[in-house]
Amino acid sequence: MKKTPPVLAWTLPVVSGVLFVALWYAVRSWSGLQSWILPTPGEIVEAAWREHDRLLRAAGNTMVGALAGFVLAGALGFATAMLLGVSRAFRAGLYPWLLVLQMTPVIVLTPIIVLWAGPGLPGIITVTWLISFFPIVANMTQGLLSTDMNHVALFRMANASRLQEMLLLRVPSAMPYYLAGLRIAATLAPIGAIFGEYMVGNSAGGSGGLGFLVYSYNTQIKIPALFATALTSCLLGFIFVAAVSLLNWAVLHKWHDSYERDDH
Amino acid sequence: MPNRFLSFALVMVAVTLAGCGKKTAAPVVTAPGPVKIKFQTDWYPQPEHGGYYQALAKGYYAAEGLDVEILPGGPNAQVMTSVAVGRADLGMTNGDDVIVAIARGVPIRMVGAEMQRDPQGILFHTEHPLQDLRDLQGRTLMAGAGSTWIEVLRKKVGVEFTLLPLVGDLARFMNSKDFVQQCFVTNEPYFAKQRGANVGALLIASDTYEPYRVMFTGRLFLAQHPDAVGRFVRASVRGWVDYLTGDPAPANKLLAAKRDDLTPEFMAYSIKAMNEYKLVSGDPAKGEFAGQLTAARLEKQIKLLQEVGVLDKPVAVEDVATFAYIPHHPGRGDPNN
Repeated sequence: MKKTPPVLAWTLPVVSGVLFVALWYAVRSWSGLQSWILPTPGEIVEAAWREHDRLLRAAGNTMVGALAGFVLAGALGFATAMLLGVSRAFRAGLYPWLLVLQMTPVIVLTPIIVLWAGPGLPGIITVTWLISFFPIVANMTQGLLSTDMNHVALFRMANASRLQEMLLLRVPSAMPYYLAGLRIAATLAPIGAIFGEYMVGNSAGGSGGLGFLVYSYNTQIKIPALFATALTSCLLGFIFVAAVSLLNWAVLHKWHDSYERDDH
Repeated sequence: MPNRFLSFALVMVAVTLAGCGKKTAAPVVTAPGPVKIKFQTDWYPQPEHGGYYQALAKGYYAAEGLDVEILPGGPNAQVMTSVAVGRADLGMTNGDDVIVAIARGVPIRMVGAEMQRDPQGILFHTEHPLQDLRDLQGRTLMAGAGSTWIEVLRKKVGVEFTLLPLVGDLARFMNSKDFVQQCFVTNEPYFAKQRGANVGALLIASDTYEPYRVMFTGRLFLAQHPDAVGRFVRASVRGWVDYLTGDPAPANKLLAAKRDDLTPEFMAYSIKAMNEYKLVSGDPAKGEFAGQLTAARLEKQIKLLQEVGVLDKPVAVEDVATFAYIPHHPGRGDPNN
């Protein structure tokens, strides 16, 4: 694939962004809509600045729930995939039930989550975990099963034990898959935490999380601040994805083909 | 965590035994020192919980030998089930919901009224006013689908209107002058007025339909700590009266610390509305007073819920509420005499 020249790589998004903002202002001035129906980008930035204390505190609260749910999903996802990768029987016995869990809309489970895990942070973490768990399991399992058969044959010829084959061959070669799963989960975790706050949260920490602010701004008809909340949520998502991309680089850049290496 | 499962299991056992009609729980003799009580509210901290925070801030609970923790609620607060499984000891919510839950076998009981009338109302623009619930005829109303009062309006009052599901914001209302939507008379009108709309709010509670807002407790807790329940109700009612007629600053300070979006102006508005609609004090002309629950009104409410099909089987008033802890009429002495 031909690479985009670096200048275009950052000028094109800027140009499309500027056009979009211009279009936004134009729609607002032609339609005559009030600020609480369609705030202008300027009003949103102004609201973000005015509310920045509250937004930051809320983002911090959301971050806690998102991170805890994400780490839990990463660890349990890894462990579950190992189980599924080890034996055909486990795979056949458990995978359909994982699908059932994945197919159940979390919104249906929220009253039960409140009752079992508890409202507030425990419930939020559970919701986040439920939403981000499956892509990790699915990817990692696929990775464990996709090991290069030549490499497996080599291990078997050298009389490697099943354990050695698993830990020294299958797990490392599944890493790109696992990390791809983590990357999907990283986009889902902040969304899951905000959704969790919206469904089972409370106003912990004086301002609650971003999900609480959605309620608060909405009932008070502070619509520019609501848009600012969306913007903040977006930033939180980027932070998560950036962190996982960094992890991805740290784990893979020395050996995986997806990174350009000096020995190529 | 194990503790929670243990208590859950214990409650389940207790529920099963209670179902057999056996009284297994005896009052528990506790060690000296204040009794710890967890009180679950039904929404994020707000002035509509002010009385409890006032009782906490002014030491009314402490004076009764109680160490009360008020648990904030939120969406899906599950107040009744939380109390039933023992995560909280007492809770508060709409009286109708408590009646329905008890009829379905949830082991809870009302112990006192928080408000004589639920603050549920209908928000309207004064350009298209509502004088009476009958004025809803032919209008488009946004309201929580499945709310009891909607059935009451249709089946008892006999008005027909187009129902839209409640999405919880005022955008659509603000945009259309003949739109009406469910609200708390103590809450949404303030924000609509702030945005420049001329609005009014009609209380849904009427002579036909008079839902209380109530304090309730789990049956097990009531059997084990009857005395503490009585003291909690007494201190809470004292807190409510003080919050609405005295200086509300102590409670408001606690509320603002729990939630930084509550402005002093909004809290003042909410308090004023609670007083204007006599939500807590009730109508003295009808012999009502803060905290009062009457068997006659609950009876009427149960009958109404059955008539509109919300309750499929009758439930006895004595299973719904105990009247042993209702504070005395301020002017009269013991109501039981």
